[in-house]
Amino acid sequence: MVTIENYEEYLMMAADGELDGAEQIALNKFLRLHPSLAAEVEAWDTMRLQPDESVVYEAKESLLKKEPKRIAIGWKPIALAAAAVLATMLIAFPALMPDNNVRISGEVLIPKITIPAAKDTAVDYLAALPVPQPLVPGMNEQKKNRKKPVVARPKLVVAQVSVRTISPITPKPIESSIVAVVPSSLQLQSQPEPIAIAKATTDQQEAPIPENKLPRIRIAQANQPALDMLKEGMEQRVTQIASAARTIRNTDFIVQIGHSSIKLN
Amino acid sequence: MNATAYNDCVRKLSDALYRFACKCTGNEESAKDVVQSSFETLWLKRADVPEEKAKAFLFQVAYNQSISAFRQTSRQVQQEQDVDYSSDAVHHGLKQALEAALSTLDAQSRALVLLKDYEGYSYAEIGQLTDLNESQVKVYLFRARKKLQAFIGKPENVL
Repeated sequence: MVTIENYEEYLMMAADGELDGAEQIALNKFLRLHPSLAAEVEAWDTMRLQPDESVVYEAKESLLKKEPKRIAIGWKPIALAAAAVLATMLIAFPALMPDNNVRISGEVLIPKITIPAAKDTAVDYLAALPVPQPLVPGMNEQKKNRKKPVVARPKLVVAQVSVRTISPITPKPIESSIVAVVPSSLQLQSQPEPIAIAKATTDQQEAPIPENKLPRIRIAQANQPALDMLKEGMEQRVTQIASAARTIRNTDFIVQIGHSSIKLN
Repeated sequence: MNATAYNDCVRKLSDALYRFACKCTGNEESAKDVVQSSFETLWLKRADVPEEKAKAFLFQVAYNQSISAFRQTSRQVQQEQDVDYSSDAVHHGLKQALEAALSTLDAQSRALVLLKDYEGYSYAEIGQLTDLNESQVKVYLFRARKKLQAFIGKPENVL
């Protein structure tokens, strides 16, 4: 309601265009009742600041901007760069290349090895092993020209099996490389600990293996069928290898487990 | 907002912003700094400021910076001492008298009057720019205009 006490606020709001329809009607009605206020109405209407258009900001150009350029890189250069880096790494670090170990998840694969009969010699046994192919063509011919030294104590790698078990609890697989013999007392181990796995001699005498040289087998709580198959296969190999080893004299037996090896005297 | 829209804002709004800053700070050099800083802020925030909100954003930044600059330099006291804006002074025309009267207001009241008279913002819009509510804007504006009236006397008395 417009009164003599607040009419100035209404006059200001009317001059500012802030009155709604009802308020404007109420103000007009009040002014009709008070014609002496007409001069004040005009004063409020005219008392408005006007901007001086001659005042301008002259340094507009300094404020202008350009859109920053974006360098678009296609996928081809990135792919080529990645390929170059990968190739360099493989050349510089051959160890990164996939090895020949047999990696198994859930099952065990054991390479076939022909164990000679008890009457066979170590040389015969070695002859039965596959001959490695040369990495460089012509290498064998060069070797033929050389005088072959007499192999007095041939190295015999009995077997090599890599087993990869995947734990259902631990997502990270634990990889073990087991060679030769696994004792029948092999049990599932929740914590890795050294296990004596090989017993083989050349003269039917069991030579003790130093404790610190024993390979370590890490078997997690894992795939039970795979472990059973591993155990069974290894036990068969133990029997065969031990039988062959007892008949061979003057020959070093080396049990290789991964990158570790044990020489059996 | 892309660079084209930003540059359009520079061309359309820099003069008005500069006039506003000049009146708020009472100093041309400070006003130039305010304009430059306001547009720089707009450029940095252009990803978050739509084009239709650019003007309000600029005046909000300019308002805050003008108030800050004015208070830091305390020019108000200096101007009141240096310039005779007494009501007895003769001003040729209502416009000149109002300009002189405006200089006697505090920084916030001056900004409110300028936002209303120069830019035509509503009370609600001024409240958003100045972080005041609509009622406060109305009260502060009323006090400022009454002070202007008291300074210049009756408009019909201005030469």
